[in-house]
Amino acid sequence: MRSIAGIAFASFALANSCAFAADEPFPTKPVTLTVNYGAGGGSDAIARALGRALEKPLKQPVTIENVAGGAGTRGVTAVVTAVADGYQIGVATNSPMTIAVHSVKGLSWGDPGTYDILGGIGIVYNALCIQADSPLQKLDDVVNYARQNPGKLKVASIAGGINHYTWDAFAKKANINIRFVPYSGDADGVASFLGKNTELVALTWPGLKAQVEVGKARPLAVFGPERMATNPNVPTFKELGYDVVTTSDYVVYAPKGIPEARRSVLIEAIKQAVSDPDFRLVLVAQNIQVKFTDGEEMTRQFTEVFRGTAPSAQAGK
Amino acid sequence: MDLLAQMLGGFAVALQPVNIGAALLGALVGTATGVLPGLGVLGAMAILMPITVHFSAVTGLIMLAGIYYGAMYGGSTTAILLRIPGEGGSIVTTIDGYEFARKGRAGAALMICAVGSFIAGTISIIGLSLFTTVLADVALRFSSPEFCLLALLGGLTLVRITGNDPARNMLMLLIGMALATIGVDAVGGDTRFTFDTNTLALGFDLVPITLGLYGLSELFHVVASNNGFPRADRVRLRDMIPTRVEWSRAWPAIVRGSGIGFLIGLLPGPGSLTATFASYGVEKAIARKYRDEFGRGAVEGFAGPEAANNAVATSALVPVLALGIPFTPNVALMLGALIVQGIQPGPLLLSQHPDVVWGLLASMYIGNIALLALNLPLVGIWVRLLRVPQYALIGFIFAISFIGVYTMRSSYWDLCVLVGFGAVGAILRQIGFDLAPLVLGIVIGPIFEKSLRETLFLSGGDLSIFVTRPISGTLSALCVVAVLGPAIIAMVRRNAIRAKHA
Repeated sequence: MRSIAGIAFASFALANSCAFAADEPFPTKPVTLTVNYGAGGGSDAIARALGRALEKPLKQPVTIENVAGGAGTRGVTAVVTAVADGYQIGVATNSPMTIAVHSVKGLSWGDPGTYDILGGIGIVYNALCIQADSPLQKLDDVVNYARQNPGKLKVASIAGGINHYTWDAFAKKANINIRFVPYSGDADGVASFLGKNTELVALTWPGLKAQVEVGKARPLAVFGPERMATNPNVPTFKELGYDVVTTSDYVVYAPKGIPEARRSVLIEAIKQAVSDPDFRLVLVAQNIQVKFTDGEEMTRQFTEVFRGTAPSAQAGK
Repeated sequence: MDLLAQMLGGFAVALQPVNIGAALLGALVGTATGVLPGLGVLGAMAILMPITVHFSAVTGLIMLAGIYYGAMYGGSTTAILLRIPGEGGSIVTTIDGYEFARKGRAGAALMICAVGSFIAGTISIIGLSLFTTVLADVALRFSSPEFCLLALLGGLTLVRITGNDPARNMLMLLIGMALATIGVDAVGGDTRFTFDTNTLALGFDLVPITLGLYGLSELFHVVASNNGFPRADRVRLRDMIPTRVEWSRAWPAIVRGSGIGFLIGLLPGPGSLTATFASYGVEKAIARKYRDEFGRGAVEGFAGPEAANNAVATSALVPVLALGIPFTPNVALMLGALIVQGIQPGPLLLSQHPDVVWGLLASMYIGNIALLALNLPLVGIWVRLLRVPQYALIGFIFAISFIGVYTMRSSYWDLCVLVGFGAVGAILRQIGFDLAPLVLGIVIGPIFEKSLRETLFLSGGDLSIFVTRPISGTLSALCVVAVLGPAIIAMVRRNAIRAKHA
């Protein structure tokens, strides 16, 4: 079904490609928003909220398409290989684009220069928390204790992804040895921390915030570029003297080569969607910082992490 | 008193017409997905999930939960009638449930399962309503070392409870565990044994394997032999209603199965499969009078596991409601339904949105009654299914299996796995190997490996962590007993006999 529609659509678009003009109305038919995970997850919830919010400025229906699989890369492939006419866009986190991209074979895309990021819509900070009843109060206490007792503290986290990359960067800068205990997901890592198996937990803020609110976990610092609006008393690693800034970001992207006029219509719509109260509600419920970030800035950040997580960079460590 | 007030508040929510409708629709869809082999609960929930956006959060949650526990009712039907498990949790039922049906008691077996599911559902909902917070703390005491030992204990006990030859079972278990290492490793994220192909990186999914090993191989067997499925030439009411003896044997097993399922459901991992095997093992171990009937149609052999299967579905909600941590994809999907509505799941859910939590719990009481009312009349229809001409039935099951497996991940590879394991299953059966240890190996292999590696990361490579923690120490002791116990018992018996003769 999909491929037949795709072929018909491609030939139509080719025939009309010379007709793209600056003042033509856009969009004149439904826009497809592809999400790279199945229905029901956090990403899907965000895509559906974004779709509804985009319908208002675009004045056209936005259909949600779930293309799951390949650690999130199949959805990206579907968007990146689509006709660049602005009618197919996607929403994704940086995980398939900067991490899975190195391990999945045979992708038709690679570094962030091979697709077009229209803008960032939400930022997920990575945070470090400690057991609420621990005598170690501040991040410096933890660092000092870890230097005097190498290998004694344990931190629950996830291997191979952005959390691991971030933790290694911090441990190197702070020159400490804390045992990194890798779990396969937020749920397992948080459960192990709550069962007091580790003193520390380094995961994304959405996975930790609820435990902080009930007093089970105490936040030490976040790896964000600035403090979180919702929790202004939690410092950043950067201001504490450890210059490690990594975030997980939700971006809206498209295949390269969308006509400039259409591209700016889409970017304007995304900006409006980000300030839509219904959209913000869904992201806030997941403790995601809602903020529009310029596409060029996102491309720069993605490229940095993409290079940092490349196998060649890992091997050189 | 407070609890009662909250419960009544929950019923006020659940008894709203739209919510009763949602519970019924969910239960109906759930039963259907449970009955049709290959169509997974997760798939059905994912398909209906976008619809929930148009209703309130609690209505959506009630519907998804209905699908989830409804599927546990339907799963046993094909296992009993055709020896084809609808999902992993029904594998055990194919052993004694099918044999029981072959004696002409298919209707009675289905009725015992429906009533057993109802009892188990009710017991575990009461447990859930009363003890959620306490149970969540208990569940947190189990961590990687305990999961690792539980997996080991499960494997060690299973090789003795099914089939006849522990050595052959052990071989199957180890092959299963080895197969499970293919694909992306859950701890480090590395790919293993994939020969640089994305297909193998997907690994082996449990559904095509189970359906292939049990379903397709059964169909091959039926086609090759002339025996066919059990026939139901006349459907009489007398054959539908269990006898008094059958009841008196079934209900203690149902209560035990409910307890086992409820406890296992609190822990992460594929609870329904482990709980059903555990229940079967317990029933077989404590059986005295009817011990020889196991494997040949013992009522306890399917009544207990079916109850356990249902209890798991309910108690798996404990970690979510109390801590906001989803341990299974099904439950994670229910959280997704809340997030879409802007509700933040977490440990504060109960205090911030009591209407959602108590409404859900109350709807589950209603849903369970609805399921019983739905399933009892269906028994007659299902049994009549056996009167459908065999060629039509076989073709239909083939088609449904392929569609079900393909819709899960849209992967041709899974279809190859389905057919491949169908052939493997048929051959293994022919040469007298039991299939259950193979499936369990594929299930517990990753849990064993993952938790073993997590444990060693936790302890810094020190193995003493397996005996120094109270729960892990107890489990280690049980593992030793599981290995040495039978040998010691045999030795004591030999000595007793020798003493008698001397």
